[in-house]
Parts: sequence; C-alpha cells; structure tokens
Amino acid sequence: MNFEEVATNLLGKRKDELLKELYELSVEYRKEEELYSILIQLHNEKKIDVISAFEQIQRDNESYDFFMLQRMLERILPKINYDSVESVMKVLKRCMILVTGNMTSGLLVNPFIEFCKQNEKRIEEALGLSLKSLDKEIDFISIVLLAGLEVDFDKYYKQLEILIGDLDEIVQIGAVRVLGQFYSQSETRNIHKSFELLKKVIHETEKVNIKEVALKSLCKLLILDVKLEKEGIEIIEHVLFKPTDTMLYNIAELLFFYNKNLSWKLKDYLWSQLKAINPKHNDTIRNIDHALYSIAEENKSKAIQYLEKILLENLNGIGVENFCVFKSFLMKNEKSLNYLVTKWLLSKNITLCKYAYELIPSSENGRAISIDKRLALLLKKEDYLFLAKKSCGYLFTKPVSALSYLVSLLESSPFDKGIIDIEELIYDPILINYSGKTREYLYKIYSQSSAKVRNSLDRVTKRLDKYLNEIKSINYIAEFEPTSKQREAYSRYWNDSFSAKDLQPKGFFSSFFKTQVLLYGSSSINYIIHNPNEKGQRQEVFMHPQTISTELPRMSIINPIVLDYRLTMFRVEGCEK
Amino acid sequence: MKLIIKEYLSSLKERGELDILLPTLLSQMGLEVFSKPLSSGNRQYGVDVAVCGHIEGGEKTVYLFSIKSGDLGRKDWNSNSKQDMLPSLQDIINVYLAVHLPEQYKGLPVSICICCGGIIKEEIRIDVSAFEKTNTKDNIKFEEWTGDKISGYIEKYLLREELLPEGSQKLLRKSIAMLEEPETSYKYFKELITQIVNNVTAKDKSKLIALRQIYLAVGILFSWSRDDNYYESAYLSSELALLYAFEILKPFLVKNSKISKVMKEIFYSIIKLHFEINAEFIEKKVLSQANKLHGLSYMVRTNNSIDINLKLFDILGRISLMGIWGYWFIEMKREDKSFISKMETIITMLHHSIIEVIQNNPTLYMPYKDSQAIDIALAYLFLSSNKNNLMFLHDYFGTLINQIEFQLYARKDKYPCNIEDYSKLLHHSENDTQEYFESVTQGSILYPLISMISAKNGFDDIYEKIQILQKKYLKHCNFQIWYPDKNSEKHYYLNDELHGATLSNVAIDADKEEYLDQVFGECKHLSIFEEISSFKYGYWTIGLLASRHYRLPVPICLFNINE
Repeated sequence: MNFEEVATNLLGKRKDELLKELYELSVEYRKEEELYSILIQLHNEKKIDVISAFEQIQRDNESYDFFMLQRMLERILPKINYDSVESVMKVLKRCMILVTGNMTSGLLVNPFIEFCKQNEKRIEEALGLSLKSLDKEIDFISIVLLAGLEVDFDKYYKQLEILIGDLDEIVQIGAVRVLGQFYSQSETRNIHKSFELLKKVIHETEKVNIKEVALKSLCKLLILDVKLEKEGIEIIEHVLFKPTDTMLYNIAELLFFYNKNLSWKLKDYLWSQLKAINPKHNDTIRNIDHALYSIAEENKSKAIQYLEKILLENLNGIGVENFCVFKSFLMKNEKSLNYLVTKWLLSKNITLCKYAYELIPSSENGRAISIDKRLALLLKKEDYLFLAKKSCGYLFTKPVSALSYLVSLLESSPFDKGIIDIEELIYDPILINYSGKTREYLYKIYSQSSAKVRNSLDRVTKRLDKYLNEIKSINYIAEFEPTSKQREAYSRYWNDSFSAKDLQPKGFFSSFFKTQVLLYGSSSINYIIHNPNEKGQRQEVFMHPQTISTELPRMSIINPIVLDYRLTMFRVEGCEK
Repeated sequence: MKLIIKEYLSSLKERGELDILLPTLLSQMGLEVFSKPLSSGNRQYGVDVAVCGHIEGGEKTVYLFSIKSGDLGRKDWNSNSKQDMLPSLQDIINVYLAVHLPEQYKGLPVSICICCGGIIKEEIRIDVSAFEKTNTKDNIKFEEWTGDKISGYIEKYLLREELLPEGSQKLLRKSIAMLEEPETSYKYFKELITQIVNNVTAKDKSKLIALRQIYLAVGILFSWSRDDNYYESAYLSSELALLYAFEILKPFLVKNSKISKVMKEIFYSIIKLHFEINAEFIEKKVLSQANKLHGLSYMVRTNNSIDINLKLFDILGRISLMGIWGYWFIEMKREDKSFISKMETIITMLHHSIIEVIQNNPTLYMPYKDSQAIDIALAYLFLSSNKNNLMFLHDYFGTLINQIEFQLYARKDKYPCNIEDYSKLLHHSENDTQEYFESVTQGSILYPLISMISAKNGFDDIYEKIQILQKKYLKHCNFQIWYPDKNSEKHYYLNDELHGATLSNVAIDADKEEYLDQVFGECKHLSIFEEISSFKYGYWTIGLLASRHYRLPVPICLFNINE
C-alpha cells in the first residue's frame, strides 16, 4: 500500500469513519513507521484531521481497537501541526480518562510534551489553558511545565517558583511534582536548587496533598545526588511523621520503579517506613511485591529481611498471599523457599510461622519442601522435634509439604533418639489423615531415601496399612447412619453453602465470558454469525467432564476436636510471640 | 395381617419367645394355663405348655403343647436328640399323662398339640400322621398347631376389632413396612401404642389385653426387624412400648391379685423382649467393632462430624442402659445363680466395652449438645458401679473438661450448646460472636452434673476446673439441676406434659461439700423412691429409660443412692 492508496482510503471520510479506517489501516499495513509518516503528511497537508477524529474516540467501539489507535496517536502526535492546542489537550484528556487505572494511561504524556516543544507558543497557550481551567483529573500544569523547562529552563523555572506560591492547591501540586522530574545527573546545580525549594515547601505547607507530592519529588532528587541523602532522609522523616496512604504508595512506587537507582541506605530507610499499609490499597501492595522481586534477584537476604519487616509491622491483614510475584520467585528458587520456611518455622514467632504456610502454593496438596541444609547445621537435638511439630501444625493442610519436610528432618537429623518422635508425627497426624497423595509421595521418594529413612517409612506405612485395613473391615450398619431427616438437612446445608459461593462476584477470567447453563444434553450447538446477511455457521461444542479431587483430613470428621487441639498445640508450643 | 403374624411366628425362637407367646394367647382365649416352661427352659416330660378349657365352644379338654420353633422337619422330628418332637410326644404319652398330669385334670379328654411357629414339612408328614393314628385313643387326640392356626387365633383373640381400635392393625403394618425409615416406623408405632393405651377402659381385663397387645406388637416388629437385620425402629419402639406399658401397669404394682401377677409377668416379658432387642443390636453389631480405633465413628458413614458425635453419644446411652438393665435383672432374679452369673458376665463385658468405645472414639470426649449429659450420666451410673472404673472416669471427665476449656478459650465452634435442632447445629459454626455464644449456652445440666460427680468422687482438679470455666466463660449460663416433682409421676412415662422442677444457678463456686449438700438437699423435698412409682416399686430402670428416651435429665437423687 502506498501513499495514494492510504490517502484514497482516508480522504473524505466522516470523523467516525476515519477512526475505523485508521484502525483497519493499522491492522493491514505491515510497515508501521511508514504508515505513520503518511498519516503525518496527510494531516499536516490538512487532507485529514486526525485530532478531530480522536475527539470522539471510544474505548468499547466494536469498529476499532482503542489501544491500537492510542498507540498511533502516541507516534504521530510529536510530529503533527495543529492550530488548536486546546483540541489536542481535550483529545489527550479523553484518552487518558478512558484508560484510567490502566498502565497505558501515561503513554500520551511524552508525545504531548514533544508536541508542545515544537513551538513555544504551544507551551504558553497550554499553560494558560491549564491555569485557566484547573483540571483535577489530569495534571496538565506539570506536563506543560516540563515541556517549558526543556525549551527555556530559566524562564520556566521562575514560572514554576511563582506557581509553587500560588493559592490554588492544584496549581501548587502541579508545580511541586515537576521538581522531581526534569533533571539529568549532570545538572547538580539545579538539583540542589530544587532540593532547597522542596525543603521550603515541605516545611511551610500544611497541606497533606502537597506534602505527598513533595515527598515523591524529594526522593527522586535523592536518587540523583547521594550527597543530599542524609538531609533528605531527615526531611522524609518529618513528612512521614504522619504517613498517609498516598505517601506509602509513593514510597512503594519509588522502591519498585527506582530499585536499581536507590542506594542501599535510602532503600533500607524507605523499606523501614512501610508500616501500617492499608490492606485495601492493592496498588501499594502490588508495588511492594514487584520491588521485593527486584531486590530478591539482586540480594535474596535483603528481600527476606524487608519482607519480614513488612509482615511483622503490618499485622492488619497483609500476608505473604499478597505478594504473589515474590512468591513466584520463591517457587523458582527451591533453596530460598526451603530457607525461608525453615527460618520462619524456627523463629518461634507465630506470625512468621503462619506465613511459612502461605509461602507454599495452595494447589493440590502442597509441593515437596525440605529443611534448609545450612540452617540444619546449626540445629540442636530438640530443634528437630520443634521443627517437626511446627511443620505439622502449620503445614497440615498441605500434607505433601508437611510430609516432605518431616522426611527431610528424618534424613538430616544426626540424632537417632529423636527419630521415633518424628516418625510418630509422620504417622499421626499426617498419614492417618491424608493417606492418598502422601502415600504417592512416599512411593516416589522411597528408593532415593537413605536406609535410615526407609526403615522409618516401612514402620509407618505398616501401621497405616493396619489402620486402613481395620477401617475397611468395618461392617456397614444401617442403625448408625444419620436419619433421613438429618441427611436431607445436611444436603440442604451443603447446597446452600455452594449456592452462596455462586453468588460471589466473578473472578477476573470469568468476567470475560457470559455463562450459559445447559439443562440437558452433552454438547452445545450455536450458530456463529459473521455477517448479518449470511447464514450463521453451525458450531457444536462437546462438553468434557472436569473433576477436581481434594483430600479432606480424616480426623476433621472423626475426631475434629482432638485434631484441632493437637494442631493448635503444635503451633503454639515453644513460641514466644 | 395374618401373613404378618405368620411371618412373625415362624421367626420366633422356641425358648423365651414362642413358649411365652403361646400361654399369653391361650390365656386370652380363656383357657387356664396350669403349666408353663421352666425357667431352665427344660420341658416337663415333653410338655412345654399345658392348659385346660374350651376352645371355641368345644368340650372341656386338657391341651398339652410340645413346641418347636420355625418349620417342623426331619431334623426336629427325630434325629436322636432328646429335644426332638417324637421323643417329647412319647414322653407325654408314657410319662406325663401317666404320672404327671395334675389330679384335677385327670379324666378329661386330652389333646396333645404338636406346635410349631411355621409348618409341618411334607418330608415328615407320613411319620406324623402315622404316629398320631397309632396313638389316638378315645380320650387322647392329636392336634397340629402350626403358624397358620396360631396366627388365626392371635388375630381373633388379640387383634380383633372389638379389642383393638380401628386402624391399629394398619398402623402396625405401616410401622413394619417403614422399618428402613426408623423415624417413620417409630412414628406409626407410637400412634399404634397411643391408640392401645387410649382404648383401655377402667376394667382390669381391658388393661390386661392392652399389655398383651403391646407385647405382641413389639414382638411382631422385632421379628421383622430381625429379618431385615435393622433394629433401630424396634429398639426405639420397644423403649416406648415399655414406658406406655408401665403406665398401664402402674395401678397393679401394689396389688397382689391374680390379674396383677399376670400383668407383671407380661410386663416382664416386654422387658425381656426389649433387652433382647438391645442385646441383638449392641452385642452383635456395636460391640464387635468397639475394640477398633475409630471403629464406631467410621460406622456412621458421614462427612459430618456432628453426625458422628450425635450417634456415638446415643450409643453410649444405649450401652450404658443395657448394662443398667443387667443389674436390674440380677436384682429381680436373686435366686437364679446361673442367670446371675450370665448377667454378671454381660455386665463385665459391657463395662470393658464402654471404656473401649470411649477410648477408641474420641468424639465421646466432647459433647456437642448440653443434653448429652443424659447419656454421660447413664454411662457414669453404670461404670461407677464398679470402683475399678473410677480412675478411668477421672481421666474421662478430666479430658472432657480440658477439651471444653480449649474450645471455650479458643472460641471454636464445638462446645456443649443448647441447640437441639439438627439444622441449627449444622449452622452453629457460622456465628462466632459473643452474643451468639451466650444465646446458645444459656443453661447447662452438663457442668453441674460433672461437678457433682467430681465432688462425690474426689476429682478435685476437675471440680476446680469447672469453677474456673464458669468464672471465665460461662457467667451468663444458668447451671441447673432438674428434679422430678409432684406432677412427674403423672407424666413421667408418657411425657405428655412438662414436669419436674429445676434448681437454677446452682452454686458450683462453693466448696464441694456445700455443693453436694445443695444438690442432694433438694432431693429431700421430693423423694423419688416414695413418689415416683418406677423407683418406688423396683422398676428404676424404667425411670432411667424415660430419661434416655424423652431426653430428660437423669434424676440427680439416683447418684446419691449409696448414701
């Protein structure tokens, strides 16, 4: 497709048709950059009006894909001419609002800065417009100031200083935000100048919103010049005397995005400030999670140290479950997982022991883990039984994990006397409760185990077989069965419990689909209509059975009280906190 | 109906069943029973039952019955056993009639009755006919009383419309038909028994008939249960039958008349029938699994721990009551040493079994319902009769209270509560607020019972633990003890109205002597041994059975019986 062909497709189209055509071109046209050049040319020659077409863009329009068009705008905006800056700002705002909360929401900022930089008049006009109609949703002030600072630093820095003193909070925030954004490391003079300015703002303002933005800007300056760190930390301490959710979010964001740029001293300090995180603030937690992952790749022990600190200082609903990215790191690093589980089970701290459970994925019956070999070197005789009890108490509902850990204790323990106690725990509560998956696991590891472990396993499996055979030999006695009324009541109770689950909100994945219930049959027939004028295409989908099996601990039915009591005792025995 | 009765008759055992039913029937037919089976079960020169009188307007005759259970075949006719029918008949002719027939019946025509619960099999038909023909004389005839004939008489003399309320036979049929749904079967049986009791008039004869009908109804239900190997309805129905029958018997307990003796005998037969049902169920089905770890718990076959808990406490109550019946039988039959020895063996076995059942089924260490104190009380009454069990009882109550303490401390969902409704019990775990906890633990008979047991037996650690539990977690709970009162005698056995009085807020915070004084002091206001007929006249097991069946607390005074 060449210039003429593209032009033929686009010329004379109405605004709504133009977007559709642009989209189709972006799909069909393989050479992306070439297409963008043609579009810029057509626009600048006023043959088409891209900006006015984007004024009506919608996110859920079936004729085009919003994100592809947004990308197109991102690429052509810096190079197009347009008389009305206001119109461009409107388009920008519309696009940004349509993707609020989405990672792509900031994609158009830099192209707009580039657009403004092409002509200083655009900057002046945009700044005027931003100050005239203050926008709470989009911070045009800082965007335009950034463009200005790049064009004429002194002029716009003065402007910035004036705006910081403005009476309106929106204006102040916009200006303060810019202070952390426009430097390269060579501009030490300007960095110091801005540092002083921020210091002044922080000490003088009473407004929390401004302090929140100032904190972020300040941290960015500290990244640029380590010399400022000592004084900067003192200022941050002052701000964080009363931390808000946004301040903690800002810190978490910095730790995530600037992990590699922050010094260890500053990192240590900022991590130590992540107390009292609001468990509902998912974005903050997500940023911490990613930051932990980045640190773990660099320095595992630091990551663990930070994680422990957060877990112990945020006892308000934040647990290991919240850090799935970091967990995925542990899944890939068996040694780290074993180290952390062993460390936490040994910690005598109930909170950390609970989190040891969360470290292991909840799928199936838990994955196999083992004692950390380095930590094992430091253990005394009684520590083995202590760890065995803790693993039973905390990992009980992930039986393969609990069992594998117990077996690893058997394997690594140099003390013969404690073996019987660990063996007893392998039998009861683990094997006696879960004789399915755990048995499979034992078969799997048997041949690789030492003679010492094999002897123990022989003894416990023999006991288990005896117990299971006795159960099997029990006669069916109708008199012991629950009455029909009880059965009905239980069935109702069970169904109600499930119905209640059905009413729960849809998950992320299921929200994409519409559920259809088939009352009869084993396949579903649908007619897919591609073109309204054509007959639909018949499609038959055969249903396949899906089963999930899970093993319930026997004693939760037979002997729940004692099971509960024993597990509780295993958990708390010997713990200090 | 005749088919049902025939089926019942064919299932009856020779000893203790058919030979008990037959005199009852013959008496009801207006005949004078002058010889019944010996307690040893041995025949008197071939005769099991001997009666004299007219049957359906016939000549006054002496009827001599030789009884065999089930069908009469070659094996029972003559297989070189002393108990066979042929030698028995020969004994009747050669010995009984010659030397043993009471003087007053001599000279009367004699009918020798070959009696069996089923049929006379064709394989011996010629032998029987030949024997009858050879030995028939002017004053000696032979009659064949098979299941068919007996059931005809039962229908005519015990269950006919004039004797039984309309629809009663139908209720019995329904109860049998629904044996596999014990609750429904029991419901119909209860209706039947209620109709029988309501049909009783002021006449003694009417009461006698009612007792016989109750006996027959329980017997028929039991025989069908035995066939189905499913005793639940028979067990519950026989408990109810005993209680209703006792209500009828009550006025005769003080009397020494002939009819009161007959009534006591029939009542005793119902007790034996109940004990047999109990024994069939407990010994054969329950205790065979008692020595297995979690054996009885698995037998409940459920995914729900509540089912196991409810069933096992129920079973605990039943086994204990069976043991208590054992003591009662020993008291009744003091003179029969072999019977006493047999019963003592059963009691020892039951003591041992209860301990095994508890140790192997840990759910019994935690009552989910406060009312399970009734079963615990029965178990204690039975086990404490042997001082050797006291150490076990101390351990049992110690563990039980420790577990309750753990549940209350950790605010778990399994602690003794006042919820009786099964559905509500299922939802019990969903609410863990203090308000809810207080609403389902408003009152307790369990803690005062264990306190009393502990105080009495010197289980000081447990006594003190309960004091602590009350202070810490159960201040709101009304610790109470139930006592029968003046109205109790009227309603104890039919449970047709609330009765008894409750001592509220018993002071378990007091020292144990003071506590025992308070608990047993209240017994002085109404002595159950003077006011409640079952305790007064030696049928104390009936009082305990009423407690189990109607879920009434066991009268606390019984725990002070030694003093």
